[in-house]
Amino acid sequence: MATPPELELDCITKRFGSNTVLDRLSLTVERGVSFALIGKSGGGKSVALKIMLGLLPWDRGEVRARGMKLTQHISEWRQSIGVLFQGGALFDSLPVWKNVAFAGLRGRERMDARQARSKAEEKLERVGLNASVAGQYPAELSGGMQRRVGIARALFTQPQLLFLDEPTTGLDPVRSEQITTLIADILADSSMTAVTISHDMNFVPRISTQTALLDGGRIVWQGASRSIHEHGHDRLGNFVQGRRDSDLP
Amino acid sequence: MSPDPQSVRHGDRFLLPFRAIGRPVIQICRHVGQLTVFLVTAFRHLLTPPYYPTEFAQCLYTLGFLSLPIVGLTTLFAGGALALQIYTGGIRFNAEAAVPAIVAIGMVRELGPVLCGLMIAGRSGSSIAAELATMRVSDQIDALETLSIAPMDYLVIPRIAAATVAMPILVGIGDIIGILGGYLVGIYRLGIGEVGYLTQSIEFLDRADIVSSLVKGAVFGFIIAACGCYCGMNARHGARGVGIASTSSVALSSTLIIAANFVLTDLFF
Ligand SMILES: Nc1ncnc2c1ncn2[C@@H]1O[C@H](COP(=O)(O)OP(=O)(O)O)[C@@H](O)[C@H]1O
Ligand SMILES: [Mg+2]
Repeated sequence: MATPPELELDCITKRFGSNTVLDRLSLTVERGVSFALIGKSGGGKSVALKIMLGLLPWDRGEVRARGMKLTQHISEWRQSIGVLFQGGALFDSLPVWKNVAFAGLRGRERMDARQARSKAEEKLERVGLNASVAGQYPAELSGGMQRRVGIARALFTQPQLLFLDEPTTGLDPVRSEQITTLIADILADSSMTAVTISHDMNFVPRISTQTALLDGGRIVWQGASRSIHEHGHDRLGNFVQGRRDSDLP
Repeated sequence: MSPDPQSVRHGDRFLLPFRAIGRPVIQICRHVGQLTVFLVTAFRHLLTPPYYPTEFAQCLYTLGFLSLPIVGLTTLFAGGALALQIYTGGIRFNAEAAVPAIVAIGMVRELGPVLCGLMIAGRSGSSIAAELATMRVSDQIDALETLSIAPMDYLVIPRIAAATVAMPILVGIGDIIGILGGYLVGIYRLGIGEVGYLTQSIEFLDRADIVSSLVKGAVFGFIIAACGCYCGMNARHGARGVGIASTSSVALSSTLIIAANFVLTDLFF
């Protein structure tokens, strides 16, 4: 039997009151693939991500992770994933190293502090931060450094599946370039599956192999990431080149 | 889905008052229901590991120890004012001698717990709500869940447990300081004999008075932390949501404290 896909969304509908954010959204992420979900701001990308993580209930449809219903094995599922939230979502009451090692310190295994700290410093080094930031608090770091800490935290448990919500949004071009290189590096080094959300069209082809465009609550285009700049006047081309859909021929 | 007000047809106008009453009633029912579900879930998490003793200790420190100054100051002045008022009343019946006893009973049975409850609701309840609401709107609570840590275990239980343990102690200390306030006013302002005051205060206090005071403290502590956590965990919509969470936690817990105070007073009557 073929291995089931890492993640499948099947006809997911999600409403907030009368606002239908996702309208029969279906997508499939195969194992080992780096998948990018693009779409305009407020289009429901983060909502889709939270549904994939089992953080938000949905109204209709089904989410399957490795062939099983997500709701039935959510805790094992969460043990195998790493997430970088939009904006980082670092715990601001804890120093950087405790943020990174949080799953080790407070999770099932309860590592001792010294071991956790050295593993955290190792992960920090992997994302290009030296050990001197370990004792600082998230609020003392720049936006780019906070993203790096968030990535280090997501990598701490050696996940099989990495979720990244807008890793380069809000950074200056230099920082954004550095984070792009870092993520591309990390993904090239491992066999992780990745799901990245972005609206940064320079970033997407460099870190992903497959791209899907979310518009109006569902996927309107899906294909190879390297081809996204080759589109003319269709919905993808308009999105990539910043034209409105009313300009469609 | 609720129809928007503009779609109300002319003939439906007479329904408007019912709508105006019905909406808030439904809102209140929904909140009561959600709060109940929240508390039942919290209770289930209380009975099952994991536990986070470090977080519990930290909450005990911030909720309990750091609240001592505010509790001490308010009860000291309240005790003094109570002594003045009771003296004013007492002198009309030639009952000045009863001032120490009545101050002690009033302080322990009523003023101590209620004052501490309201002060701590303002100080700690609002800060619990604001902290959790900030964590909610900045996705930190979602991050906890994806790191396989249940926010109920890690954030809610330590706060509720710490408040329930710390409040009786704070109330006990507040009672003593309040009686002391009455004592200071009694001897320096009212000229009541220094020797008799304290013995009289204590002689007339029953064990039941003290038990009721501490039980009220524990219940109020529970209410404060539960409301703070409930409002904080359910916050939404950015910075504005944090403000709303913190105000509504204080409004909700103060109301519940006053109501619970009546019920408990009636129980211990
Ligand atoms: N908890 C919520 N309650 C109500 N509406 C929400 C909530 N979360 C998101 N939304 C709405 O869903 C829509 C999509 O938001 P989001 O997924 O954050 O967009 P983006 O694609 O930029 O990540 C927005 O219109 C937002 O207002
Ligand atoms: Mg988003």
